Amino acid sequence: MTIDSVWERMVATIDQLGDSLRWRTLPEKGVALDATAFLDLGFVETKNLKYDPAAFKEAHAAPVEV
Amino acid sequence: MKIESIVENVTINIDGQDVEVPKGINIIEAVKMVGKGKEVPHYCYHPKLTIAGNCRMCMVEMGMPMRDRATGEAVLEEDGTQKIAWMPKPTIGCATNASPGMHILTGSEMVKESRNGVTEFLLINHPLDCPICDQAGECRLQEFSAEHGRGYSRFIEDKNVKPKRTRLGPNVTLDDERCILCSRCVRFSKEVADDDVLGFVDRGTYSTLTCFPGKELSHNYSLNTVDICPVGALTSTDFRFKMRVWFLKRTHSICTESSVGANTEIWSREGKIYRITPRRNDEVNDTWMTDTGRALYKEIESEDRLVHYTIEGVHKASGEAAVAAAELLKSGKIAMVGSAHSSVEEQFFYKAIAERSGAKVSLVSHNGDGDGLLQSEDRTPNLRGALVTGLISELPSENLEALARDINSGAVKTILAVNEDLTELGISKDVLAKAKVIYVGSHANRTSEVANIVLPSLMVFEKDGSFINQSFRIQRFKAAIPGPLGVQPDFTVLEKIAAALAEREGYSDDHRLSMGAHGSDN
Repeated sequence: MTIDSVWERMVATIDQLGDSLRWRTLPEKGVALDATAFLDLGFVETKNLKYDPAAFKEAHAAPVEV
Repeated sequence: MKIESIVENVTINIDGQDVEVPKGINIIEAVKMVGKGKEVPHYCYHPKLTIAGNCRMCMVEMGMPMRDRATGEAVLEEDGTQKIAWMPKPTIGCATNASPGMHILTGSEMVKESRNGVTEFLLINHPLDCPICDQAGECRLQEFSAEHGRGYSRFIEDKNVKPKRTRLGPNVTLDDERCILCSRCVRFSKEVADDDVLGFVDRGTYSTLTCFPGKELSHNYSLNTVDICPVGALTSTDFRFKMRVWFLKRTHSICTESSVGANTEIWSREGKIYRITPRRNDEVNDTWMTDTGRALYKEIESEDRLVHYTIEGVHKASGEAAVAAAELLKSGKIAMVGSAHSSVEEQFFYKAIAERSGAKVSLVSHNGDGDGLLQSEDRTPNLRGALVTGLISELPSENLEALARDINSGAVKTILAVNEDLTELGISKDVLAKAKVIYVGSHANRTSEVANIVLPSLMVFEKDGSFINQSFRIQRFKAAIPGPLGVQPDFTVLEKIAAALAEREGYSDDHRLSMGAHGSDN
């Protein structure tokens, strides 16, 4: 069992990871996942250095233009 | 949809090469964009702090296209190119912003002479103690002196004597003789940490860095001043003289202190961690991290570390313990207390185990006060991971009183607890004694003491994985050091349990295939 094989399974079942993400090729700065499914949850975090809950919610709730 | 760039680019000429850079960027950053290792040496400039312009090391020659003052027409050279009006004196790159047509020389004779002069002045009173200086190996003064200095000293007078080993706060020790008065630490404390505690006293060569009267450098970001100190003036009281930095291996990791997920570097040698420093990520933590986050690695060598797989207190092999755990989980009436400290990969398998055992999953919140910077209210690194993997669909509760009621009523007979001490969360020891307990965790607690099966887990520094931070950014971390002898990566053991559970009769083939129910792939 390697982390690569775990990821093969994860991308097959977790929608937010898409098809192409893999642990070994994740960018060093990370990848922002689609959070729209969780926007209604009342997370406890308030505004900090790089996170503003209101702005985050607004940005992710906006309709996606195709 | 085409997204237009909101940043306007301008073309400037750096050492004869036209480069397109964002308008307004300063020359130090513009030169970095040329690549090929090209750099304007600097001390006081820091990309995340205001410009001070006091070290004068980033001198460059700057010119603008010449225009006729009367007509505004471009003045041309004989070959038809636009004539460049060079400034008579060098200018500092940190405070000079790129504008269209600007010409920059970073290696002209005038520039070299300027850097040489600045370096000579900086070294006048700087002690010649590089062999015993803790900054050696990562000292910008040492590097730039070798690159831009004259190589010998003309200074025959006595050097200034300033305070040595001054305690600025609980984590930071100052050697004032080494300070080059760049003021990065002063600006950081004021601008980022919002604790205006440092300043300079006295004048000229007697200028000395110190704390304001009655104050000390005690905020939770104090060690960032050590990171950004370009010389060996500010040192980490914990790390100083422990290890030469060139012996240390650097591994990218993620801070687990809170849901911010600050990017970090683990500095280790021969299986031992010596320090943790921040790694730049402008989307997450800029170049900072908390002092408390840097100390988390000390739990590795804690005396209560779990290092053996046990069944009823007897040491067993990992596979045997996994099989026993799976058997216990097949008995029905299962509850799982998951953890937002587990990695995404581990949560993925906990989800599989919960599905296959029919376990009801709970998570407990670990909240504290946020500091508005890099310590968020949620003191776990991967709550979003638990949501994304589907381990939970609602936010964690504050305690496990509901689970205690289920145990008392007989609705729950077996508990799989991950990293949590259930006795601190509303389940008394007496109530806990009514259920079978499987404990997965890195450190012992009262729950592990009474657990029927204990599966030791690795700490974040000892394994590969990923976390999803407060902004739903998935970030990976890598193993910096090996874990305790015999302790397997958590997902290896969890996969064995999940696979064993899938073998039970009546489990759907669809689930078996998607979750790899046909055994591990090694």
